[in-house]
Amino acid sequence: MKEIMPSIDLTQRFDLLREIIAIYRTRLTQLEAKVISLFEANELEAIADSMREKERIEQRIKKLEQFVSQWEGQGDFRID
Amino acid sequence: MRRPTYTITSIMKKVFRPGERSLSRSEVTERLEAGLRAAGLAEDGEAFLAKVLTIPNSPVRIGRTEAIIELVHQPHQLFDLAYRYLRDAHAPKTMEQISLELRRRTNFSWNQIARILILEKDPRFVRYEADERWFLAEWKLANDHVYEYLARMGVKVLPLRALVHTLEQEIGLSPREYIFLPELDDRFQVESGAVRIRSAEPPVPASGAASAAEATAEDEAAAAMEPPQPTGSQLSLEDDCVMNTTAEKINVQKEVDALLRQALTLLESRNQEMGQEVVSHFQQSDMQAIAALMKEKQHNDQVVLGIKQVLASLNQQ
Repeated sequence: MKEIMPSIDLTQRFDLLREIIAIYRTRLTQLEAKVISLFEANELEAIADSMREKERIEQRIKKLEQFVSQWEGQGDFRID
Repeated sequence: MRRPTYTITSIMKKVFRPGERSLSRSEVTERLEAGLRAAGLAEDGEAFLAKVLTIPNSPVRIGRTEAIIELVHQPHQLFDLAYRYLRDAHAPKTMEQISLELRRRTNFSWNQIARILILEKDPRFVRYEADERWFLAEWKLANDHVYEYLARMGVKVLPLRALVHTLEQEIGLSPREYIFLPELDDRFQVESGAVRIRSAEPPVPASGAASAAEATAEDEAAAAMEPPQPTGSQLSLEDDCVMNTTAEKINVQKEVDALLRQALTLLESRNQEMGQEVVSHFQQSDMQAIAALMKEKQHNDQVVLGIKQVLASLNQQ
C-alpha cells in the first residue's frame, strides 16, 4: 500500500513548504546563538560566514513565502 | 536621653524619597509611622499628618483628592543655589548665612529672598529640634556610629582634629554623606577642641545592648525609609595622622582590592551586554558594527587580564 502512495501528499504541499520555512527559521535562531559563541572566541571570519549563510536563508525564506502566498490562494489549481 | 531629632516638618519631608512628588495618604502615614518610631516618638501617623497639614508653610498639602498628599515645593533657582551652597560647604547653615550667600551670588534683594526662599517647603532641606541651622535631607547622622565606635574602643575623648579621619578610616563612613552632631546629643559633651563621651557607666554591657537595640531600630527604619541622619559641623577640619599606620595600610589595600573587583564585574557585565548587541547587529547584517564590538571586547579582555594580574600581585604581598 505504502509504495502506491506518492511520497508527497499534494494536498499538503503548502503545509510542507511552511514546515520547511519554519525549519529555516530555527536555523536562523541557531545561527544567532552560534554567533555569540564565535564572538566570545574572537572568530570574526566565522561570523562573516554565518552572516552570509543567514542572508542566503533569509532570501530563500522570502522566496518560499512569496511562492506560498501566490499559489495557495488559487484553489483552481488544486488537485483535490 | 536627648538625641538629634528632626523637626515636625523635617520628619514629614523625609517621607518623600528623592523624585517623589505625591503619595497616597496610606503610604504617607505608613512611612510616617516608621519614621516616627525611628525618632523615638510614639505618635499616630494620621494624627501627625493632620497636624503637619495645618502648619503654616507646610511642605505638603492635600492633592486632588483627600487620598493624595503632595509636596508644595515649586522649583526656583534660589532653592537650587541654596542647596548647592550647603552641599559644597558640607556644613549646616543658618537662614542668615544662606541669605547672605545668595545676596552675594544673585541680584535678588533681601526682601525677595525672604519671600521666595521658604526652606520649610523644599524637601531637600531639613532641620533638627533646638538647632537653627538647615541641613540637607541627604546627609546621614553619624552620632550612633561614632558613639558605638568610641564605646567599643574604650575611647573617652576624641579630638575634633581627628574626627574626619576617624569617621572615614576607622568607622568607614564617607565624610561627604555623614554629619556628626555632638551638640544635640546627650551622649556627647563638646569641650574645647574635643568630644567627650558623657556616660560614666561602663559602656560595654549596658550601652552595648542599648546601641544594639538602637542599631536594629535604625536598620528597620533604614529599610522602611532610608532615614538620613545629620552629621557633624566640624567635618571641615583637617585630617591628622595619629592613627595606626598598619591598620591604615590594610584598609587601603582592602579598598583597592574591592575597587578592582568592582571594575572586573563591570567589565564582565559589559561583555554580556555585548553578546546581545552582536545578535542585533547580526540580524541587521551589520558586519562593521560587530567588528567594532569585537575590538572593544578584545581590549576589555586585556584590561581584565591586567587587573587580574594586579590583584594576584596585591594578594601575594
